[in-house]
Amino acid sequence: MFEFKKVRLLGGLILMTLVGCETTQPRYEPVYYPAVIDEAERSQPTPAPVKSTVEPVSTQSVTALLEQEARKEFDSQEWQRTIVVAERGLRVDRRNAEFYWLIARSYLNLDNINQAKAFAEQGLRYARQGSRLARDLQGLLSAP
Amino acid sequence: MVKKAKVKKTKKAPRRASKKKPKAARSKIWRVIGGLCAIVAVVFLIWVVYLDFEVRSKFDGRKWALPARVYAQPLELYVGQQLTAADLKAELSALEYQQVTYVKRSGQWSARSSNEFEIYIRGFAIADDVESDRYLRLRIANSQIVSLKGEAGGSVPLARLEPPLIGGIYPKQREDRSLVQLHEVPALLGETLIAIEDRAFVDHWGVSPRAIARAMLVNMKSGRIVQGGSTLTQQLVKNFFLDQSRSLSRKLTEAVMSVLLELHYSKAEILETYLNEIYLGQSGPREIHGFGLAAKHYFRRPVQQLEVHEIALLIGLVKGASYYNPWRNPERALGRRNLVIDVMLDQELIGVSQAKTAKSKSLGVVSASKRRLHDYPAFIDLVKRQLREDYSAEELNSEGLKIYSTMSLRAQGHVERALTERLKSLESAYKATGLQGAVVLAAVGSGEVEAVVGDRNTQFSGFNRALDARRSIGSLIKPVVYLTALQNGYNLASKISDAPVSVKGPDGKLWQPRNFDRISHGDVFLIDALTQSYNLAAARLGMDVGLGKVWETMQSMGVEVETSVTPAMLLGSVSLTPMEVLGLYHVLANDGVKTPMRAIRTVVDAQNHHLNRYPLEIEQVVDLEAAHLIQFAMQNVMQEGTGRGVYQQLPRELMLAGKTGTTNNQRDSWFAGFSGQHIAVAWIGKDDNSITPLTGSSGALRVWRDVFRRLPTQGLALSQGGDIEYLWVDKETGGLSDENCMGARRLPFETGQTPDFNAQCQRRKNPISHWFDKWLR
Repeated sequence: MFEFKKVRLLGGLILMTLVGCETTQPRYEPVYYPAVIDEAERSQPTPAPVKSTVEPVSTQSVTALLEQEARKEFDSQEWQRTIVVAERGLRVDRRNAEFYWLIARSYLNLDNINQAKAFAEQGLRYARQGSRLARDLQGLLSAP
Repeated sequence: MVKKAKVKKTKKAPRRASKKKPKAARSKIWRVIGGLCAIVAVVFLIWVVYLDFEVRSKFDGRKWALPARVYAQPLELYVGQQLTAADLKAELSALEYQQVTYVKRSGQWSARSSNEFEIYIRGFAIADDVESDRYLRLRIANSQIVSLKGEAGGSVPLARLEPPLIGGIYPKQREDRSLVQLHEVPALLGETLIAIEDRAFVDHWGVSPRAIARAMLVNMKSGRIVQGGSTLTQQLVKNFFLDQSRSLSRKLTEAVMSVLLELHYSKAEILETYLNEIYLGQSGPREIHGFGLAAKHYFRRPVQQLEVHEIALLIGLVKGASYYNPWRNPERALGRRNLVIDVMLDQELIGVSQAKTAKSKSLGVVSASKRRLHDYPAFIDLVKRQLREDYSAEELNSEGLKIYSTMSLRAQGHVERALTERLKSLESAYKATGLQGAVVLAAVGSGEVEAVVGDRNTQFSGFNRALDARRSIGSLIKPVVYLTALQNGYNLASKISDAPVSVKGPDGKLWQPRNFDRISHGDVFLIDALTQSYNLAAARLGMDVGLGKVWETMQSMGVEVETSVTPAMLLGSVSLTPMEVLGLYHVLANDGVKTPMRAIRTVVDAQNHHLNRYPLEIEQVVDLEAAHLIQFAMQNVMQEGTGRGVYQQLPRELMLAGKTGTTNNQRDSWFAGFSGQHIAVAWIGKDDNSITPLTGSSGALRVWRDVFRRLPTQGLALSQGGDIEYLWVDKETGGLSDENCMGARRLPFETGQTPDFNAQCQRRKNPISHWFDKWLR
């Protein structure tokens, strides 16, 4: 009885191993010299990767500051400065609709209609649907 | 009487004539001499006036042709910024910040712990964009800044380090200098220079007869020229206005010009010009002139921060920068430096203990391997090309323009290291030789190019593969083929055929592509065909959608090369450079928006006045929905397909997207991929286009992975905008299914493009317990 249990256990282990092999991803674009590569990989101790930010710390304070600065330039009718500051904001948060609006309006005031519309269109992609910002951006798109 | 008188007169006349003759002759000679003297005087005067004009016009005008200086982007500091402690230290080192125990003034930093720093940042101004000096305390955790505070402990939302200098655009002569004003130069340097080179500098009028006499005496005694009698002013005239010949006329010109210079300009102006003019060494083909640049060249520090022994070495080099070269002839340089320190002590410019301390120090020059000031030829090449449209070569190499580029020092460093180290390891593993490579990296969204490497020897400034190596892109084209299909009625669950393809070309030859594994896989999901990089499926799909449409998509995404639109194009027969691939893939990374890849932000003139700005330009060329779908599919490539090797060393949570590319007979190994923040393209191959042992996965992908292993980056979150819905579909039929059905997988669909039939469902669990589990989650 005991022997039978051991055999069943062994059989189970073999089966699990086989299942494990089966579920391993197949190799696509097979490498020509897998053994060599493995050796090469092993011969070099792999340094730990930097801890890339999967869940980044909020950049809200910096984007809020840059929005405020860009608004200030905009209110002073400094269109080029507004664009510079808003672009700096987009480097921090590339999907911030507010910066797109500021750039679009500034280009409109500089009579660069194509860029004004392009930025408005892009901002609209990232603005919350039905928000006031989305309506403003939509309004820019229909500018003559 | 009259007659007598006449006779007398006639008699006397010859006598008088005979007496007068020598007198007249003498007078004539004198007149001639006088005339000649006058002519000489006039000529001399004209010559002096001419020299005076020369002296004043050159001295009053722009004294030197100043090369354009190229700067990297300033490192922005804010909470949430991706930054490792090592990268911060490297940036501070590049900016020549001084590590101290207690931070007291700008340009200093200290490490409170391994991840906490105090920095007193230096202010700077780029035209009207001003950053002030300020004290900062920052903490880094998990490769990002988590705390940024000011002096009083209050939060600082945003600060910047000044942009590091990364190179220049030089004229052929390659004379380089970093101008300094007299008040920026340590007093000890000026005083020692005078003590060594010209002690009577403040008293003489340009030439010093006493010094000349002394030099003559010494030279006569020794029988050869061992000492010069030139004053600092004469040395300046010789270097600034004249050639290096030793003729008498040149010496005379030098003396006159020296007097004229002293007549018109103050001692301070003459000394300041001397400090900027003097030749002090060589950096490769570049001549190092002036103490400002020499301080950076030898010590990597601004001249203001030099210590006594360093000042002494630089002063010692005035006598012969090559002869006393501290790297080639360290003993000789040390002897000369100590001699200068003795003079400093003798002239009471320093005290005994200072002299003793200074003498006890080593030469202190940077290591020979780090002595090149500029090491980024491939990136500078890109900058030059982008500037060519707006500036002439003359403007670029003479007017002292300042070019603020988009290069990130951190990214460039990681890319260089990744390529050089990986190529070495691949060559060793495969017993291969002659592998070359190129990598380009940019920020997603802004399209700012942050790193360019065009040769495995990153300091080589010849053929720039990143910009000029046009090679077949292989499977890198497939995302464009699939994107075109997704824009033309296909969805990720559309079944496409991977059956063998045979197409007769116009020349009668059959085009019969094969899969990499030589197997046909039947009908497969569109997403799987891309994930596994099936050639047959891509070729069939491309031909079904239309070659013209695929090529139109390529062109709309910014590809401008000419190519024959044939079925072979669908498998990447089209040739592009790594930089062109970067532009193409950036559209995919940037949610379907095209942006020119930029290497320059702004250009200012020597007086810091704004000249040009290179703003962000955008054009939406792909629908947001199609961009979302293709990004999802490319994420799948990295999770399950040919790019999955990346996750051997990177966290899966990054949700990277990318594609491998391998061309016929493995002549080219490509990888292009992106995170939410960075996009990079890597290429490996041989210059003679011969066969390599590498596929996209075993070659270029590893370089790319090495870059992203070191570069902190944000994960790729797919855009929430657009009409996209996630549905469960049956993995066999592609029909609508449910989470609780066997073989169901969740895929995104554009609203209106969803599967129009339901699949049969074999439930995994009891529906009630499944609902309960779901509710608990």
